[in-house]
Amino acid sequence: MGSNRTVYWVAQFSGWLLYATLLVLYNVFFGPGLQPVILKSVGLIVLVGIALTHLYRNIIVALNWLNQPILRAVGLVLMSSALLGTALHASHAVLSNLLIPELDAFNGFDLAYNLQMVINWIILVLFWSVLYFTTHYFANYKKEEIKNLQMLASQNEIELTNLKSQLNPHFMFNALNSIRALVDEDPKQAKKAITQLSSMLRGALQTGRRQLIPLEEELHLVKSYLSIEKIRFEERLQVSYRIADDTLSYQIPPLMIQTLVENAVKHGISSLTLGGEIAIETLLDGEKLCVKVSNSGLYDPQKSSNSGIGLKNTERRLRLLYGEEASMIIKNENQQVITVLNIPKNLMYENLAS
Amino acid sequence: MKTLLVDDERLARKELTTLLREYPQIEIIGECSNADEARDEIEKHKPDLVFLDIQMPGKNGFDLLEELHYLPQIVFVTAYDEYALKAFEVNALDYLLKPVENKRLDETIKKMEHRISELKSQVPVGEELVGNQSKLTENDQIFLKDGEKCWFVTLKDVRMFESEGNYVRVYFGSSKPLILKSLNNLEERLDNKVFFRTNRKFIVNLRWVEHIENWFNGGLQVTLRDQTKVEVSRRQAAKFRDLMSL
Repeated sequence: MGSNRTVYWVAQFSGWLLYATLLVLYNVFFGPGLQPVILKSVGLIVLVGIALTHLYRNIIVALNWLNQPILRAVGLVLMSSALLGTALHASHAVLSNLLIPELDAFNGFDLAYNLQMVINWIILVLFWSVLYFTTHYFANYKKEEIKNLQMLASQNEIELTNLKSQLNPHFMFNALNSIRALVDEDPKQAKKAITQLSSMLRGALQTGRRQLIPLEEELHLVKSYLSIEKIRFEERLQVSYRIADDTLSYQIPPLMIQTLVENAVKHGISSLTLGGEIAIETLLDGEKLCVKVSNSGLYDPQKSSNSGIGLKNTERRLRLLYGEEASMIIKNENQQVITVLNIPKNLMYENLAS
Repeated sequence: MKTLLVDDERLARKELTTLLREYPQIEIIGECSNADEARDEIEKHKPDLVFLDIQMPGKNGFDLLEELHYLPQIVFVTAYDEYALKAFEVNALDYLLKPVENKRLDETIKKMEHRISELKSQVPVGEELVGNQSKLTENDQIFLKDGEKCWFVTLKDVRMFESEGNYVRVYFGSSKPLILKSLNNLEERLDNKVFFRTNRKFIVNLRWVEHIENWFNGGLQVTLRDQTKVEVSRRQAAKFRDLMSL
């Protein structure tokens, strides 16, 4: 914000300085010439102008006029320009009478003269407002644009990493190898496994493209995934679900829970000789959805470079979609790694990446 | 061929067993699901051949190899581990990808059979009975790991070992990895007819010695075929002369 302030003051001073220069030049060519009294008067104009427009700017910021709908903003600007123009003229007139009596600028209550001066000031304030507002609109527009692009990039990245992890060769070939062994041992189970594998792949291909999906759909994907890993890890992988019914239709960003569960398998279960448990829990906490994934093992932020990417990306997605309203917490508790997602009901930034 | 299977997944071991049933020359003497179990089995039963999964919980396949005193022929079996396989730079490494193709398995087993029978024919008759089992001969392979890189090296290709603090640098081909071992420990395990301790810092492969000359204080200096010069301390020089029948 510091740089924004600097830009503001530079613009404020150079704008008024430019105006002052024009006034002086006008007087030199068309008026009485360069006289000390003219310079004093112009200096007073600049001082009064800066003081009152700065006040005006503080009002704009305090009342958040920049984020009003455009028509409302225009209305407010017109109104305040009229007020401010009058105030400027009045204060200028009074001050110049007091400070520069030799100018003899006080034309009493000559209506035509006063009106002309007020209109001059109003035009000046309007001009000031147009500059101020357009600069801000432009900056905001750019900020918004950047946010959109970030969102899009993050979405693409998720889609890509997810496709990669679904097609994760390590997972894929291990799964196929287990299924091949299963064909001799339990043909029925083998058939089931193939169905689950294809349903998982289809799910991953489809859900990655959408911005939000119902929790139920995500869970279906997670369940297919875990049932395949279960074939591989057998009794070394225990899974439990505690899903509140009222969360099933809750809209969530796709593949988020899936990412967490994959991490739980990859860094938790598969590194434990005796295996462990993965528990998935969802509940509504007021208006927010709370998703809890816990797995046996230990989370070491220093060590997990690979899971770090997945977690960071999840965090970034949440922030981009929901702002500060969403959160992700990861912690160690009783030899378990617990990851908690808090997802609000409404998106903060809608229609992004569509 | 006495064969051991090491994989943390039961179904993966089962699948491999089924595949290996087609080969009567393979005798599966056991299955292990983790590195510690496998280490004990290998030291105890000294299999000729081990099918080894790289990624296992706890210690992985490489950790296991580093701990072994007796190194059988190893065939890595992995689902997909470009990274791990890349660790092996130059060596003819044998690995199978899961699910295993019959044709690849065929080739691997033929190669292993050939290698193992060759190794057995090289062991001089009676040597095995002398009880020299724990000594490594020049035909034995060792497994080396330095950081991310791994090597299988036949000892006769090693020119020398150099002590560096708690580590030992192993010179072979164009590589010289550093391994966490003491030179004393190595000296005990190496065949001292071939690997000679020239001084506190070096063990030299005598087959690589090209040139010997007298040196200060009654010591010697040997020049290896790669032109490395190593000093033989006075204390060791007498022994050295004996060995080289000077």
